[in-house]
Amino acid sequence: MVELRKSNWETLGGLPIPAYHVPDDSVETPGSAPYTRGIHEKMYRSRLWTMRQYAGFSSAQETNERFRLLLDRGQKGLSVAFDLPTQLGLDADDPLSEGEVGKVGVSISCLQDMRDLFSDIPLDKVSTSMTINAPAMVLLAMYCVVAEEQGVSREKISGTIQNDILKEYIARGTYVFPPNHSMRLITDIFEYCSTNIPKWNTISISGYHIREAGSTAVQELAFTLSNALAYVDSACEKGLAVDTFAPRLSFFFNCHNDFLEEISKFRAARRLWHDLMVQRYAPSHPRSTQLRFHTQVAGVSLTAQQPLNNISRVTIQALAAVCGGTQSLHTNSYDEALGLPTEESATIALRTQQIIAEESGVADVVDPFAGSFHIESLTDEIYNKSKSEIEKIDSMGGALKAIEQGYQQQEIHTTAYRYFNEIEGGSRRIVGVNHGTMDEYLQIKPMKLNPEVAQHQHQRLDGLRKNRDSSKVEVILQQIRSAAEDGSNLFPIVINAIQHNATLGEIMSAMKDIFGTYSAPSGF
Amino acid sequence: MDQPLRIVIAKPGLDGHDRGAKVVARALRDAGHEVIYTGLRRTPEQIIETVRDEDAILLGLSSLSGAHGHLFPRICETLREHNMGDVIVFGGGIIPEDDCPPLYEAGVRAIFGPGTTSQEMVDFIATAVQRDDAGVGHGAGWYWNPSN
Amino acid sequence: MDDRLDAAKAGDRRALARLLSSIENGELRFSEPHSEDSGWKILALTGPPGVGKSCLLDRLLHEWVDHGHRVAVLAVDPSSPRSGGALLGDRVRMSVVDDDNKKNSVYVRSVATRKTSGSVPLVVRDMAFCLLHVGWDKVVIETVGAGQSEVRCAAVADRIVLIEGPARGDGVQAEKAGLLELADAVIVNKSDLDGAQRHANELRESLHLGHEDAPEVLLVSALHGDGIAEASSMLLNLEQSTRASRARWRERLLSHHERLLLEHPEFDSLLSKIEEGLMSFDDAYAQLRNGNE
Repeated sequence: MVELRKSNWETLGGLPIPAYHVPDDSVETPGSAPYTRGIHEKMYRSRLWTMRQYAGFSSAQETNERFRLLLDRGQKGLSVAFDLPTQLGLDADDPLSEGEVGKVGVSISCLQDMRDLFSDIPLDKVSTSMTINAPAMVLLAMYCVVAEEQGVSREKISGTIQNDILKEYIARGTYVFPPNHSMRLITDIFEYCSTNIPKWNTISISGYHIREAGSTAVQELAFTLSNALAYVDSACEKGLAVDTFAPRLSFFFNCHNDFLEEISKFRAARRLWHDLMVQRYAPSHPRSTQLRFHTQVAGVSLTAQQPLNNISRVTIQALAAVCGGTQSLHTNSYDEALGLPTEESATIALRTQQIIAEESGVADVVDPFAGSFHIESLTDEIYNKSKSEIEKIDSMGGALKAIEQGYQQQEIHTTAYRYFNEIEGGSRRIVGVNHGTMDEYLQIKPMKLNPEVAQHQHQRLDGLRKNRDSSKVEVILQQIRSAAEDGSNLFPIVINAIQHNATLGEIMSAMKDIFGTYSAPSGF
Repeated sequence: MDQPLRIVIAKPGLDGHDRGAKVVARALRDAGHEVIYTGLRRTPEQIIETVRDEDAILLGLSSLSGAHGHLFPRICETLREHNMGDVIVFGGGIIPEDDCPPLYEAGVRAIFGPGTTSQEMVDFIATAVQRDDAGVGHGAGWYWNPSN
Repeated sequence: MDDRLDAAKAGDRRALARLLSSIENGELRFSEPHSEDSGWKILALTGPPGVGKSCLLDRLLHEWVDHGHRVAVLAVDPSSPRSGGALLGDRVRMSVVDDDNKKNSVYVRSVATRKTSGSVPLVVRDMAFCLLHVGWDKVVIETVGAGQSEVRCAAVADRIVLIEGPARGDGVQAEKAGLLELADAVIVNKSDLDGAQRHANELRESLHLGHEDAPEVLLVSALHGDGIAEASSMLLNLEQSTRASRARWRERLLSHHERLLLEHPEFDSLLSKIEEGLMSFDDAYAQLRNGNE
């Protein structure tokens, strides 16, 4: 029996409400396959979604201070934003990093940076989500080493790495290696974690950035699930049993303005993932067929014009995500089209979630829109359209082959340009942009960032390279090259490299020597 | 216009968000120009080599990572060093007000933020190519101000 | 023009780029430079969209530069018939231009088709001559497109190489017949995908029907590098197939004729007059032809 948040459930006016409605036997029950109505029977009656706000700062020390503040205020999980050099596996002192260090997140080049980031934070008590893809293995290895130094073993740490390289080729751009080698790194992580870091979510398969790049809801769902199938295939080919890793797959979706379409999208997503898993892999663990997902509302829908209107947009989107049954949610700040959020705007974003949770009543009943003719028919249509799109990608040889041909990129870009033209032509109205406009002065906010971060990182890396046993590091880097070539699991060697103070950039360069680098088709 | 203008749209720096750059490239194509898109993560040297080999007269730079303050002036300077002072440079992305004066100072002729229409960009281009002081070689001076 | 030519010969790439623009804009013409060397100078790489031409060309350029060649590429993309503009995206796929050790031996220039009806404007031939004239060893013309207009590349190149992808289950289509007739070699890319071998076999079969002098069909994977070394040396030593000479001359005649018409100063105004009914088609055509004779 699940424990509930309250003992009595009624409307604002005092009318009683059941946990969910099942008018007759033909209707699915929440918490049962194929999970259209949710993966938990009592859903938010037992536990609300996790309100998880993503944040990033320039230096490890500054981010650490903010993390500790958030934990003091009762937050249980951390979400780390890394700067672009880190996301691309470049050290802060690499010439290509110039101008980018500490800009969109924290700069992590070596073990000492990671120690600073989690200084005085008990890694057995918090779960940590890291938005990291191409160098995910290296950052997770650093996290393991820091945890061990705190006396926390690998079996005890928990969290998530994004580790979803396919959507990087499609939409987000922070890829490094060619697709086949990237897939191998991901399956190495799956394999290593399934026995050594069992509580870690090894991937967060993301439609978010695909949607931000301009896709439709159907494309978002189809491309994301087709990427997910590619990961499952790749792990199965490596010989992993589906039930050893599938329960640790998680998803990350966008939520845009079309309220009813978005609710239907989440319902269709759960049903479709369940059906695909059952039909293709016949797992025995039910959790292997349950789609769990994080949602972030659509950054791309925010307007620079009349920015306060964005609070209304975020509310509509967040409400759709909750009515669609998300496991966790990030709400954007209204001023994000104009620069980094202020403390005030970030607070309003969090309060929006709290108002939905505590005041709106939508969290008191499971799958509140079920049975609506419109919602049920949209759910079916999104399911069918996504399924045929996935089958089309299958016929091209799967997600990986389609990406190499630029297929998804091209489809997304075509949609994005159509949307742009609809707004310019006025056939699509956006309030404040081409409808309900006012004379206004758009003030983009200055970015207040610590200019000394880059310099500090340079000094630290200089010192590190002087004081470590660099010949030992070179020996381990050579082991990385050999393992990259012969196919043995890279994870334990990367952990060893980190323990001997090899830097992120050095480890990634050793892999580049064997894997090479890649430039994905732009879709033009 | 007699012949289409050749325009390079470039993504300097490390950010991978190119929805804006690609939409601008297509909009300029639909305005009758020949547009060369560089792809992601180009260094200043790679960008100016593209402009040089493709004989582009305009160079549009897109950056969303906050590295514009470092990268745009460096690209302008590199163009001048390579004797390509007649190239007209413009930029786009999320660029704070306070960051604009140094960019204009460096020779960037227009900065297009969120919500810019394609018509405005087309108007800028038509104006800039008519002027004899719009090339990056002229350094600080004229820049596009849509309210004029 | 002389200054720019001297500068371009001395290695000034900006001067070269400017010369090419002048040719493209119809302000300059170049004729075929004299050469002692019997190998090909201008090679066309053609084939349907999505077969990985640019990626394959990139691999070949790496190889050819390693063998000491200096190669220029003219990458042709279609202009939008509506706006006259074009998106020229092939350069993105060329890693060789970012390689510090090789980039001085490679020149890549994107070319839009502008008003030309075929896949390759004839002006590209003058551009290629210019490149040879200022010291590039070889010029590769890459064309994007499908269908029958592809045969037009015969008008501009000494050798034609057709790039194909894996079979799509519809055999060798009739619309490819013209191009297959002209091809001096065929490369089937994406040998890692199902259907590549089958398509290579289909092509070999259809090429050998009734021909002694059938072009070679090679399988490669541009993505993984398989078969690239073989393709590189096969292409460097590629001879012109004799069976196609008539078809080749035919394309050149047609192409020249179109260029004459398009370059007529009254072309656009005569077109408008026909459209508005102010002039008969026959009269307009006669005037276009007379004006150039």
